[in-house]
Amino acid sequence: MISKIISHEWLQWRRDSRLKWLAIFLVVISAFALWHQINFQSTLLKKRLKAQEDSRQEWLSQELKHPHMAAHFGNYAYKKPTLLHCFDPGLTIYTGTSVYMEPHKQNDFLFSQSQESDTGIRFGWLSPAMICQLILPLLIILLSFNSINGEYEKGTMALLISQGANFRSVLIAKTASVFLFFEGFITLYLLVTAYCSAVYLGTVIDIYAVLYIWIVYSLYCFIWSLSGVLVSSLIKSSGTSIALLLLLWMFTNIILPRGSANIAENMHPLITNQQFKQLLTASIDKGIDGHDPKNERAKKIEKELLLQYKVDSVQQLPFNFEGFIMQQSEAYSSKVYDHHFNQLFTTLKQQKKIQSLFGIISPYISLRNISMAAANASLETEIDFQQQAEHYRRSFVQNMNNDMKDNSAYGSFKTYRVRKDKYASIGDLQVQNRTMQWSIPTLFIEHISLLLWVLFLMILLFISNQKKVYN
Amino acid sequence: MTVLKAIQLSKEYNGVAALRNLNLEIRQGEIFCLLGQNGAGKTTTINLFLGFIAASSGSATIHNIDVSANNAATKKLVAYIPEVVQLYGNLSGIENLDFFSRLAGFKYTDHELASFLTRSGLQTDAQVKRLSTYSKGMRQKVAIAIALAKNAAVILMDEPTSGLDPIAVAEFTKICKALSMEGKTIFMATHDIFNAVNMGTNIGIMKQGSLVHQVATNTITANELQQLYLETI
Repeated sequence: MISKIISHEWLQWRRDSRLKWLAIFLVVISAFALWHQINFQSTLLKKRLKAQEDSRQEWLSQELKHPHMAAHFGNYAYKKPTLLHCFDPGLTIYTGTSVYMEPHKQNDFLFSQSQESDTGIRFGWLSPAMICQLILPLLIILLSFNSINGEYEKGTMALLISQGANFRSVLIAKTASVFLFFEGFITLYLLVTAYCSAVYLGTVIDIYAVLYIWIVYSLYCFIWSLSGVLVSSLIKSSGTSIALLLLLWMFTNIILPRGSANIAENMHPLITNQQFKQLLTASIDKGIDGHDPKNERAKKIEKELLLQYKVDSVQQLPFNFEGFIMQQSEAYSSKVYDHHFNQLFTTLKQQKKIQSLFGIISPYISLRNISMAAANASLETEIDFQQQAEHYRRSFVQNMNNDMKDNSAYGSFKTYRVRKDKYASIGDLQVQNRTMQWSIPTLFIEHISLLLWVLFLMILLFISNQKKVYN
Repeated sequence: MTVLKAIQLSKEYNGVAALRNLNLEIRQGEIFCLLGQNGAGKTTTINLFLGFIAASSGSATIHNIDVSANNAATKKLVAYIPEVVQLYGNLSGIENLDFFSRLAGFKYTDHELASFLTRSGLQTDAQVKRLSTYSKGMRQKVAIAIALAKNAAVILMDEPTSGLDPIAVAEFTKICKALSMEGKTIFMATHDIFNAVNMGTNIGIMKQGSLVHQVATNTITANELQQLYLETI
């Protein structure tokens, strides 16, 4: 029964010229979004690899310097593209894909104004994920808004029922016909995107991530298909049902995501770039200046060390006091950065949690968060990238400071030079992209929200009854 | 043999009676025409026999099977022709018939489907054209073909001749009589008094949810029926 109605629906759609145009529109815009993202991401990757290679060459070919001065040459951390970046660039369009690392300073991705980020903001919104998250529900609405009330309007519902169809099986069949149609599209689109990503970006195919994102997008597609059919069964006029469904789309996909962001911002306000820098400067000023071993706090450490090593001057210490102070200075600034960045990240996570809770009334919000996480472009993965870069920065700077402390003499800042092989011994940061298993625990609310939506709609489906319509 | 039977059948909508204690027996091969103004309870009666709505009290049976207790079984015995037969405009007459036949559990060849449509009076060249190009009379013929293909013992019709031109009405009447001769039972709600007399074997007149009169057509002329109808309503 259900399969007969499904094939009947599809036959009708094939004959409908308006739907043919809609299908052409969907294919064209989807292909363009995929082409745009592949082009954008592969260009970015090429630039990134070139910059990485150039900066490595510059690092290796720089003249022999004092280790701390060499550390000031700096280094870049580059994000590695994942298989699903072409599908969903997520937050990377706002945060950029690189961060500069230098001594004494933790540069952050949040306030970065890199050119790539600017380009991303202008064009990055057009992605396959955006097509599936925003455009697809609209097309589902167009195919489902009159799926049931249209049958009443045509007088065919009575015929369907009298010929032996059960009202609930009509609802199931109508939902399935819309869902399976778009499910086919999602499946194909995901596979093509993954294949293109693997070919053009050289990313490893992560079957679990693709499977996971396929399941989640399928659930989203199912939620909209069932919503469309149920609204059509509850509202007698197809004109009213399309208006209601469009309002629902606007509310859940446009108003709520922006509204929830504003509410989250009001509840947990984020500090401005200027304020953040002022706070950092104020905190760091209270610490040790690594470049000035004669400042007050350095003097205090000097006294303690002389006492500890039972010597009369810093020259008699078994290590270079200047290098030690440099290390202490880095350790102090690291604490300061940890403190302020943790506060910043906590605020961001609190904001995200508020937004995630809105996913209970907007499946779009839940899907968006899950999709970004699966593509390794969520808030958590961005913070993780920042932390990986910071961890590398600290070990890189401390490595150079250790060289200064252990191998140079006190007062040799202007004369000491690193060994020739020192530069080569320091490798580039190998950013580790997180797996789905790493991200899943951060998506508890999103998973629950989507499942609640499915459950709620399924309950509505099973309590629906055609007798109510005739009564 | 009694095919359709209503015993004290009543239906209320929010406390307002749409059908009051209907008692009715229709035998095999009968064409029973139900007359009455809009809101008299004709469509409610048909919907109760179809199982589209639940009775407030009483029972409706088809071949002694209670409609509300075993609607799946009674559905197999009835075919329905609604007043508005738009069907699916993107599909041809033969495709519409094929779909509804499959729903009822019948899979026919194209030749068999065409023969049902031909029997219902639809011309061969029209059968493969899309329904959006059909007149109301032609769509009505497809609906009759759907009923024929289902091979149902009972055909329930809700104002089937409404909006049809006289030629189409005549064709429709001819087909109904032929079906009656084959032993099919037809229960029809209509406003067409003259056609009811011409086609029907028995006629009922309803008023405000009650069956007020029931007459055999061989005992009354069209003019007498019109007079009775006008006096009743």
